[in-house]
Amino acid sequence: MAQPAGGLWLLWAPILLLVAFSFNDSRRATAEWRGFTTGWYENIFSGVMGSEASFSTEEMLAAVRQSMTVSLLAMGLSAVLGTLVAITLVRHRFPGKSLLDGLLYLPVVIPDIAQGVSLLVFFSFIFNMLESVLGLKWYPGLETVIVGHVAFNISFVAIVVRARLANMNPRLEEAARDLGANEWRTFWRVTYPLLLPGIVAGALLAFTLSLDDFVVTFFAGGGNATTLTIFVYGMVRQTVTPEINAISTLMIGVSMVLILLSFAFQKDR
Amino acid sequence: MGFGECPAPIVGMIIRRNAEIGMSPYDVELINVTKEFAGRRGEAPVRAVDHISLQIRRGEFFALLGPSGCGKTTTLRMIAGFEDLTSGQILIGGRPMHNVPPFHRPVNTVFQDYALFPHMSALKNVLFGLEMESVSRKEAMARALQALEMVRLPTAANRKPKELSGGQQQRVALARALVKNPTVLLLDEPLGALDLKLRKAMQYELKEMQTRLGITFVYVTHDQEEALTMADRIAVMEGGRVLQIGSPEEIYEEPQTRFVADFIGETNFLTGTLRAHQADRAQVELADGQMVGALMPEPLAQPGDKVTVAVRPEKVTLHPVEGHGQAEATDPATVVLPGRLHHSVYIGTDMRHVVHLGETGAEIVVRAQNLGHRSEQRFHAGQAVTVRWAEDQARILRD
Ligand SMILES: Nc1ncnc2c1ncn2[C@@H]1O[C@H](COP(=O)(O)OP(=O)(O)OP(=O)(O)O)[C@@H](O)[C@H]1O
Ligand SMILES: [Mg+2]
Repeated sequence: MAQPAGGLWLLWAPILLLVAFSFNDSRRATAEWRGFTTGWYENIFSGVMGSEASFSTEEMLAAVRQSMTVSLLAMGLSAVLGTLVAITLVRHRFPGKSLLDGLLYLPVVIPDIAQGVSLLVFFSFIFNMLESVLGLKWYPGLETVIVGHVAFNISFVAIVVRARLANMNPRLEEAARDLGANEWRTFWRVTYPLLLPGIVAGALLAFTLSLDDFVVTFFAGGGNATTLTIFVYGMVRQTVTPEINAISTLMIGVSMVLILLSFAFQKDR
Repeated sequence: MGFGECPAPIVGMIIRRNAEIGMSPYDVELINVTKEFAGRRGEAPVRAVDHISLQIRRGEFFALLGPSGCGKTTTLRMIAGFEDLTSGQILIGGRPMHNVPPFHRPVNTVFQDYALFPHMSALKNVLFGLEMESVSRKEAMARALQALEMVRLPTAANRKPKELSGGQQQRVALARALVKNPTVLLLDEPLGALDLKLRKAMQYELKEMQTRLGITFVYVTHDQEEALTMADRIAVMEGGRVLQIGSPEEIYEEPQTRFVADFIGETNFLTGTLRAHQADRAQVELADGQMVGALMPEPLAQPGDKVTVAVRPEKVTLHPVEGHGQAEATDPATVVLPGRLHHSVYIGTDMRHVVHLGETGAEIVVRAQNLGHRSEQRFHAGQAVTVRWAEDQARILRD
């Protein structure tokens, strides 16, 4: 029993290795262990370049800002829309409901690359239409990346919020109406506060997925959006430097904290 | 005991509200109400409530009593406005309630599982209903605290529902509904989740408070004893229908159907053939040829029909057969049937004897008060006995 469980640690080997090398005192990012240093982390923020690295702190911080913009907006939009989808699915009956229920899992299961390509096709089509019909010239950029992220994040938010809503006692909303609250006040005074932990959990999940996304961003951005993942990819295409190891380690750390927070909110409070 | 003194403003408001309602002597009227739920795919719809008509008087404690699944909750939910009617009409205070949403109905509900808002303290729960009205914050606070005091919970005001015991939660639910000064309070098995002792205490308090405040209670229960002790009138339901409406005494003493007689307390049933019927008396021939008399106030059956005779165990007396098993002569208005004592059970205040009748083997239960006389010990299992009851204690029932 213990054997396969112990073997599971192998799954984490690449990540552990990455973290280890981010502290390795060697310019060659994938060589043998030469001793502990935090120098690469300092380099990231001080902008000091290694000889072979074309690294600029300013560019990186600009990428971080783009990432934040995309992730925050995608999170906010998908939190609202995902919650509405969840409420619609749980509380209302309409034709095609079970179909929509199933479609919810589509962004979860389809390959990122397929989603990325589909967005590329979609935006090209829309932009061509706009140009030929209205004469508007429009290019992919942060906006299209945000739309792309919302497209998959809605599902994750909706799934988390729906689970919470399905566990909610429907008598509570009836009690509110019985005590004189109309639909609007029932929602804001009873439904929303009780759903909030689920919404927050879904939003944190969406933020993390958005922050970590590369494929959808790459395709939907059309080369005009440089988020942190795109930035790192651009650097890796030249060579893997220890600074990249350090940035990646930081990204893993941030994502893990966010996901743990999301789980904490999903646990019943 | 009880909820303490009722704060004067609440009583005042209730009286005023009752005066405003106007002429209809009924607070709640159900006219031919039917509710069908759509069946699952391909299945027939479920008729939860089947042509029910009720007239609930102002200030009445009205119980809806029936076994699980008979449609009690559905009836209550239609009055509260949570379910649409399939057909029929509901009036509250003489006003038709069609298309009136729950938040505009002068009724409040105490839910079976209380449905307290888990994210609010007890006080916030009680305040909720007042915040939905245009009541000043100061007045709302005063009324909420009064209501909590009335249910004797002033110290628990700041606790969340999950920090309260079941009995305390029940009281908060009650306070939350009462603070709205409803014309009618709907209660769905409000004591169902409490242990026996607390339930008994709360029965007393609820009844006392209802009498004092003069609020109309529509009280759902499946506990016949609860209905009998608390209600002014009871509607006995089965399968979505109302079988009988009456005072506890009427329901108990004059059940009209076999179901009601069986559901409310214990009853002996004997089947036979109606032979004669005169005024309110009927003569029934049992399977073994014995003739017994019984009451039949309404002509439920014709001579020759199969009928059921019902008699309560406590109306039957048990007598030892002296000598050679010959029943001694008695007055003609008394039914005397020979049998054999099968067994006796001691149940504290009563003795419960089970007698198997002569040739038919039909079972008759006799309930005798345990007076502690030595005579009680005359009986032993297997002994030849007679059971007797006065003819006018037995009734012919509809099946
Ligand atoms: N929403 C619903 N959809 C379908 N059927 C329902 C629905 N609500 C109730 N029913 C059915 O209607 C019938 C009456 O239900 P109801 O809840 O009114 O019974 P009840 O008398 O309150 O029973 P209990 O004592 O168990 O609470 C039952 O057969 C139940 O299965
Ligand atoms: Mg019920």
